[in-house]
Amino acid sequence: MNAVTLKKSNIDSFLKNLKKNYEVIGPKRKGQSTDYHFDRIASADEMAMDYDNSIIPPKKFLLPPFETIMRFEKGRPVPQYPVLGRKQVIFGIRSCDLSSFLYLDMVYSSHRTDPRYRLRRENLLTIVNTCPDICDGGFCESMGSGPIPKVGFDLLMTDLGNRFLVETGSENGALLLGMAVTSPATLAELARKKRTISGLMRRASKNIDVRKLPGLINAGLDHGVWAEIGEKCIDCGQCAMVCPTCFCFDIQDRMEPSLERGERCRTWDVCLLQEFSGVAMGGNFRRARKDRLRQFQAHNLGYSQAQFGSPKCVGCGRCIRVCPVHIDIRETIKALRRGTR
Amino acid sequence: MKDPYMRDEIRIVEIRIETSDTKTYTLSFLDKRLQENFRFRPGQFILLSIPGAGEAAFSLSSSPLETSTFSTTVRRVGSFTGKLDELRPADKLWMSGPYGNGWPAEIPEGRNILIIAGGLGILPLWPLICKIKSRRNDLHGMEILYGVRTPSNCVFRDRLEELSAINDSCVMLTADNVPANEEWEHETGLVTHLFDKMRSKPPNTTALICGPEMMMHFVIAGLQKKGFDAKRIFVSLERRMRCGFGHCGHCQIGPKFVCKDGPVFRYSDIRNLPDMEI
Repeated sequence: MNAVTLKKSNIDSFLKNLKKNYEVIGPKRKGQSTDYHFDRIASADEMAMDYDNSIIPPKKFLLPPFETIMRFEKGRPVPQYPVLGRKQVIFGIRSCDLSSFLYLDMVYSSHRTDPRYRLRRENLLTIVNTCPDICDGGFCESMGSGPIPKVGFDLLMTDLGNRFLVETGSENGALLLGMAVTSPATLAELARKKRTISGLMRRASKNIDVRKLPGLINAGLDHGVWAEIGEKCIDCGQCAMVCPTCFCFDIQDRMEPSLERGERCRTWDVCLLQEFSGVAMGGNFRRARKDRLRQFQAHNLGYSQAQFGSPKCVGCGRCIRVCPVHIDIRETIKALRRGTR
Repeated sequence: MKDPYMRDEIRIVEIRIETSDTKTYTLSFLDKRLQENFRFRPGQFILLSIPGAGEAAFSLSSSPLETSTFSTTVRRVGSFTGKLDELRPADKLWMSGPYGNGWPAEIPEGRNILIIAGGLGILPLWPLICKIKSRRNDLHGMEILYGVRTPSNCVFRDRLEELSAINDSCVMLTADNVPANEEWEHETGLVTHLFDKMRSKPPNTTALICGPEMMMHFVIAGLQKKGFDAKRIFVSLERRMRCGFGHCGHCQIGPKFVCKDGPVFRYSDIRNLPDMEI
């Protein structure tokens, strides 16, 4: 991989050049808070380069929270597809979120290809920004999804103080990089990146033992930890709403009052809510909160390997940060490891 | 790229009233070529779609050998089935499918097949019964145990009674309760009460079961007590689903997607899964 350096003072012109051909998305501060979100970027000064990560994951650009997949005209369904303008570049996503894209790629191409997801995905280029530090709650290193990505990015930037080390991961990435003023990386700069990464790895929480998680989950389905955290859970569903790999959705029809026109919509759905697992005649196979919480966590940690060959959880820590009652998926792993029921 | 959310238009050819709340809809594609090419395996299901009312999954309940039409049998229980209930012959709606794996395709000729159904659980089994009937002239080697809550809840009663008249066949019907004003010349009691009269013996029998999960729970427990192997017991499960191919996530049971890994499962593959009553 050829590495170059890009001076921070040249980021502005890089963005300007990108914007000539692409729609640029980047991390923005939400109002006057310490919260961040990914949004369209008009100029470099809008970008919050000191962000840790966003609350809502960049998954929203591939699977919008709300999407019309069909319109009904005189009772006939007319399929709707995303109207894509220029290609999008997402600037500065984290390694965990890139891993989530690779996971969603698997889900939405298994058995059938989701055309709406695929159209958006093919339209989106990724510039990953290596994390400056291990974020609060994050355990990407344990889950193998960060803090730096191995594959799947178009460009990878690592902060070296007054410049970024930039590595190219694809032909598209090379095209993007052609719009920046760069210089070849020196051996000293490459060494510095290495030191940065090993420093990150040292700070990563290594106390999460993720070996053989599917077996741990299967053996622990009746473990007391589920009842324990089920007692705390207040059913808000935020953990799944902020999860970058939660792929479940609901589909509902909405009609205009005339009943002549309407639409079929797809919306994010979360297994923490009781309605999710409802069946006909008021039945529900996950009526207890502990069962719904177990579905969310066990799917993330264990079930997914059997489904798609890799864990669903990318260790981004969002569900931990957002939980109002401090339920921590890492603690579930530890409790299951301890094995006491 | 084919859009898996696109639906095909179908027409109601005939509506047959099965019980006070259940009807069989005989359907056919408007596009003749689609109808000619439509094939399904017993145990598979379709999504029916009514613009504005939404979509829901239903078992195919007709013979797979019938190619000019296909059928599904639906009980009116909620908003979508309520809307479906309002439709009349020649009305149009939309569908997609078939989905799912269906019953095990090849059950060796000499093998005894034991079918145990409860309530509408007979529906996904009916195409298989039709297929076996067409292949084996008499019904030698097939035993059907069918339980219903009350005689008035019994679907396909005439067809089952017809089957039982065929030489050497063994069809047993039972109703949990028989109200005084209902006629019933069959057994009374839970379906597991038929086990004493059952002819099927474990070593050479494959058991195929569909019904409410609580019923399947007791049926399987009874079969295992009689020595049936969990590997030779198959069940068909039901969960709400939005897509039919493992993307919407609603039908997950542990690592399984009922829509694409099922709806038919070998009991030994699922017996330790959570969130079931089996």
